[in-house]
Amino acid sequence: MAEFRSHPPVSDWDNYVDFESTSWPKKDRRNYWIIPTICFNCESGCGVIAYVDKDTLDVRKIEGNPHHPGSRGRTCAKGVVTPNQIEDPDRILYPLKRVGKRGGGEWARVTWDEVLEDIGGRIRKAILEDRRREVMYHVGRPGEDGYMNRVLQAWGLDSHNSHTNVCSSSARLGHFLWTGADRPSPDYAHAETILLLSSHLESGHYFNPHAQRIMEGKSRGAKLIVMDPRLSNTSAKADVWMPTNPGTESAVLLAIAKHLIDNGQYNREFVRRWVNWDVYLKACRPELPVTFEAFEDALKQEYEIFTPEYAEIESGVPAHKVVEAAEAIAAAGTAFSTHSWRAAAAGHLWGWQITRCVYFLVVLMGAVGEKGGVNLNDTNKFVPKHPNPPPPPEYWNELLFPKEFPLAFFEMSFLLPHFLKEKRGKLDVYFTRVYNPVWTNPDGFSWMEMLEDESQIGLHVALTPIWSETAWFADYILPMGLGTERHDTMSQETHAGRWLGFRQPVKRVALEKRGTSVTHTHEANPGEVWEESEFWIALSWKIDPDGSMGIRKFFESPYRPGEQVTMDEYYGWMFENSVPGLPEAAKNEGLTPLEYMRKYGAFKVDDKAYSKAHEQPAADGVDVEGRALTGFNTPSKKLEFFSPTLAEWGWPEHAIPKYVPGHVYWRDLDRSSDEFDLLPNFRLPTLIHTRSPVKWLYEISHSNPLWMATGDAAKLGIATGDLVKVQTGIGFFVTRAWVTEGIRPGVVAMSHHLGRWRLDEDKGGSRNASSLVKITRSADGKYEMRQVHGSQPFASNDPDSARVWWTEVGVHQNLTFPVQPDPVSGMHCWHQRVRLEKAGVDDAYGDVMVDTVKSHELYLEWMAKTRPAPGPDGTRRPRWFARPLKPVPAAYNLKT
Amino acid sequence: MPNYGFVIDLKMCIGCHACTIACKAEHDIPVGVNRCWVKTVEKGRFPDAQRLFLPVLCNQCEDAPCMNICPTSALFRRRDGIVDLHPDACIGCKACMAACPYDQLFIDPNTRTAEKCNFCANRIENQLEPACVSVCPTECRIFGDLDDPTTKVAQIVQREAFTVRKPEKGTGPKVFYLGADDSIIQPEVAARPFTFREGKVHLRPLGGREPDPESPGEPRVDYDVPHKKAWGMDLVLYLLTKGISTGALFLGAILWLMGDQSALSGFAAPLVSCIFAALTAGVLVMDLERPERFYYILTRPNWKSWMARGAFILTAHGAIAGLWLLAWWLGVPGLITLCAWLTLPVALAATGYTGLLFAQGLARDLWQGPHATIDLVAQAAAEGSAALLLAALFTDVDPWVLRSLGWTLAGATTLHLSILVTENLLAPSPTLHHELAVRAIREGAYRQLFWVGALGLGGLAPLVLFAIAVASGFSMIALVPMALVTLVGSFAWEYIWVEAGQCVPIS
Repeated sequence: MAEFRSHPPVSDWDNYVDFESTSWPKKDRRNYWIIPTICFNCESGCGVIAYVDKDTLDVRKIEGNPHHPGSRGRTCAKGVVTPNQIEDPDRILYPLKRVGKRGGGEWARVTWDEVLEDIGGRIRKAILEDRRREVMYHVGRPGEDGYMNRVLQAWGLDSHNSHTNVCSSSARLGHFLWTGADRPSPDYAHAETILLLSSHLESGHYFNPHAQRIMEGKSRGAKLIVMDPRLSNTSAKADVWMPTNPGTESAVLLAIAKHLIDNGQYNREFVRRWVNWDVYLKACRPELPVTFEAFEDALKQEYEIFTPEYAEIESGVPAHKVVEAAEAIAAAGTAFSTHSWRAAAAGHLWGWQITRCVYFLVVLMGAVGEKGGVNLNDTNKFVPKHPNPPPPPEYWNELLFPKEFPLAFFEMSFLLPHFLKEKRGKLDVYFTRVYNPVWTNPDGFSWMEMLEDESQIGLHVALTPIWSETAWFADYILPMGLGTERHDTMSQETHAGRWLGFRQPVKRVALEKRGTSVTHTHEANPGEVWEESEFWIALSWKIDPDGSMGIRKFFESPYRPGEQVTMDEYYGWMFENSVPGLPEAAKNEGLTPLEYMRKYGAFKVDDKAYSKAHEQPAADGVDVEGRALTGFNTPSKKLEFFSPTLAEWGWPEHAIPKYVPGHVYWRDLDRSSDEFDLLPNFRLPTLIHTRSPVKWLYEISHSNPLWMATGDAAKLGIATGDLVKVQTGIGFFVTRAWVTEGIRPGVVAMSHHLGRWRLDEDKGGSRNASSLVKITRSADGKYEMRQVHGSQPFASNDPDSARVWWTEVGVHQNLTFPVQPDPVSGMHCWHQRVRLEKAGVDDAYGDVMVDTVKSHELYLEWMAKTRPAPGPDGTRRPRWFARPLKPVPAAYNLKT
Repeated sequence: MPNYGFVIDLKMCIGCHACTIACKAEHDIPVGVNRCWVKTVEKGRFPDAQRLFLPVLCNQCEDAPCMNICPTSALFRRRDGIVDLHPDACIGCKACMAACPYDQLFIDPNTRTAEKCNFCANRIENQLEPACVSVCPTECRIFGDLDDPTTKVAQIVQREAFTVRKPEKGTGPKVFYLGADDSIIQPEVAARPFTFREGKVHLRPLGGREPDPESPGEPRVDYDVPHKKAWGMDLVLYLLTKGISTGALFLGAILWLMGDQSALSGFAAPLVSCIFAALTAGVLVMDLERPERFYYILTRPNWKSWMARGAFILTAHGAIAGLWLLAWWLGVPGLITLCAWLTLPVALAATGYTGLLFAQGLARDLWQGPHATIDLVAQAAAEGSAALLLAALFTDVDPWVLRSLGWTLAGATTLHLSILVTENLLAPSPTLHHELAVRAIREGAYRQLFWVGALGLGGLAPLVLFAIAVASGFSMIALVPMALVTLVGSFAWEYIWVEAGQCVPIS
């Protein structure tokens, strides 16, 4: 019997004959081009292949790309639904301009020429009048590496704003302080023990590639330890589930560390060679000799209180489980993998300390860059150089990195409405790009207020494939391509190896294969949907039509001087010039590098990258026992157990990994008045933040009831399905309860994804996935939202629209959250201290009330926790700290 | 030839639903129906709570109940063991849905024909793995030839302890599970809530156990896809109209042969029978998703199917009734006598085959067992005599005929009542599924209809009225209400029989 293949072989991709399944068992043959691209539905960058019908040019289906080293031919549910997105009846296919007042809901179709003229002229004027700060690009899901940064640099702007501070800043800072790399790259597949603080088997950071490898490791016998107050699908697969009291994770982690130290189970040699223990001793224990033995004793004293019993009292996790986890880690040696991303780190004040405590275990085991251990993103992610790099911006944008947050790991994006309220600046042109802050960010009504105010935001341009709550408050909605409708390059540190993925507009590629010449992707895309790479080029030429501003030259062809660069030229240049091994691999097949990437969609740069890059000799390296070695990207080039940066920038008490309970600490909750810790930031394997309102996904997951422990629900007289009123610091929302044994008592949880809404019956949101709401505002800044109806069946070209059977599509909880910026990392601390009560007769499902005056007060309270710049050298930010767009060194100096 | 099967390693499944969506995409499956999906169950007390996942798909049974019942052979077996379907031959009778113990068939709302998983036969013929296998991030699904000892599936099935869904059904399923917990693989075990973890519970099976707030930690379904039941009111009406038609003709034949040559047996009986036979045919055609294809059942019958067999028996029954009516009109008593003799076996068969048809509905334990066939005969006798008693209002009838009909009705009702009482109140249930269905009848969703309608109006009331009739010398004043309540009671029970039979979750 012949073997079955998981995918058609690449030799068949240009002429694949498939049986049409819908007319089966008739043998109805269809001819396809199979064209690889990259999924655009989360950050993983999984490779997919599109079956493009040779007759109709429709994308029949999407599967995984077997030639993609990260995703290895597999995808998750979200990738497969791309055709749903392409054919979404509520998709925006033409550029729209608002008519009437902003947010009024009246739109007119405009031409792309008008769009480019208007926006280009406005940006040109802002740059010429030196109002550069008034242009801002705000990105949700980037889905590409480096292209947009280069555009902004070419414009000379420090204008890159991101979503990262509502996502992963605390996780990043925790890793970065140790290693100078902000993301770990665990080699799960070969680990002996895996410790997860995020639910990587259902979401996490690189769900599909990571889930594959975690389960691969588990099937080889790895022990899986999961720390999560909630029975996530990941917890459900754990050998040891540790449902901690939220925010007490570090107590458990340090107890594990203490167990490893006390029992001599740690990698003494590695710690001695690579940890900056001498700096610690000098700073914290000047009375001791600077010897490793003294450090070991000091370490024991430092973490003396963290017995398993103490960890149990703090976290609620039984002491024996803590010991079991510690023993499993000890047994793993250097084959110890771990990850901490959005969950606990994103949830709590000082969440970055949780990540530091996780990484402390990696360091103790010496599992850095080892097989089965944890690599660094900068050794496993491959970002090729783009052509003709522009110089860095020459100024510092305080709306992005205000001086209160010198160590903020990313831009203070979610505070923007409050900054504008305080008149720290205003914006003339504001791009939101696949970014939906009104819905995703905390305190969405303040965002709405800001966007509605034309004196604060001159022009709001929403670049999005679909409607969103934020796009409703735009002046232009510009439809941008999905994963099958655009060019990008992408790479992620998915495993011990490096790869480059190439996203391409599959219909355009198909047309070109058919011999039709295509000059721009929008000619091939549905309606007048553009791809962003071409949009930014066209816009840049409008900003600087004659090249006199020095901008146009960055958008000219590297091959045809003075001509506008094409996609083939731009990406062709990258593949020819900055991907090691690619030109040779292409040549072996008789292809150009671009042809190779169009054919395979991905290139494996290297494999089995157990880099131990730090151990490589380097002339300017760090001296380790008389040898100059590369070391790490920290100032000391060592692993910084003691962070001089934190000590010098105002946080000496946080200089070493430390347990500090978060802002919602179980001991502080007033149980007698029904106070709970709300965990609002968990994700589902079936949904994407705001881009997944499609039928096949919503059919599975369409509502986000409040998880409540059995005893808690009983005490409040609440049963599954009952309405509960959840009071936060600035308002309340009303949702349904889902009573479960799968959550720590005292904690309630709600999925982050659901509760989408729209303000108009027929537009403004996907009708199968949003509720129609009414928002009323009182003069004193109080907002009330009430659902008119949930999703309903409707008529469209897709007969499935009339088959929508789900009604309630969740409750929008984020509106009721005040901004809670961590004073160090700048991360929004997602957990909420809430008071629960059974809903009253006047409460309805989906009700939301928010007081934006109160939200500004709470903003000020959190701002008071900050310790502003300047740092020790009079700068705004440590120079070694990463930034998406680093300005020139002079811009770091804070004028006093 | 190969014999394809699946192994699903539940230890590796992470419940991500990629398979569900890949299947939807491969086959462009409409909203609301699924060829494959992942059921989820939560069980255990904190902090030992567990979440279990069960990906399900068609078992391609060795002895496939769906194929056996399919009246037009639209379902067929490929040489590689896969049970596939010709949508062009499907009349949409939904019998396959009633037959499949695994809930794997559905009506595709686009084509209005049955659909099911066929292991992606279209891909297999291109040497490709099924879509759900190809997509699975953790490779928990293994596909291959069970008869080839070199394949991974064959080796696992040889060497490892596996479970299949409902082995007791004897269908020979070919999807083998590793590490399945009873609470998820046995659909009756876990409670069925009214809200799922991520959304609305749609089409909740009424007979599923409700979660008991007093026993947290008992297994509870977290997620399942909506399942439409196969049959509804059309089939209830079918049972009633067919019972009247066959019962009336059968009793008419007995009376005729016993010497009653009145218009009641000679004319009213075949007339009632004809009218109700026509109604029976009408509701059956109406119930089809593709009514315009109703004649396929006669032109391409599957002789294993009691639905096809029944169609021929019913046709014969209708023809006899028609001939009888013609003979009355022509005034040929000898022909009537011939019709009467023919009626005895044919009407009996037309009554009883339904029991065998429902028993072919292997999905439903309530419908299994010979008592159903006996009960159908009893009900038809009661319904037929009730109909003739009402017809007697319009014609002169000898008192012995009225007495006979009264006694028949009472006797039949007594038998029917005994069966109801025995089956629903006295006898232990053979299976958990049966018990849940009976519980729904006795104390659940159907309890009022059962106690008041089926037992009261359909059982006790006719007997009380019969006693009054006997006391009053078989006065029509007692016989007419007796006939009427009998018909109402029958209708109530037939409704319960159809609905309660299908109220238990089977996947």
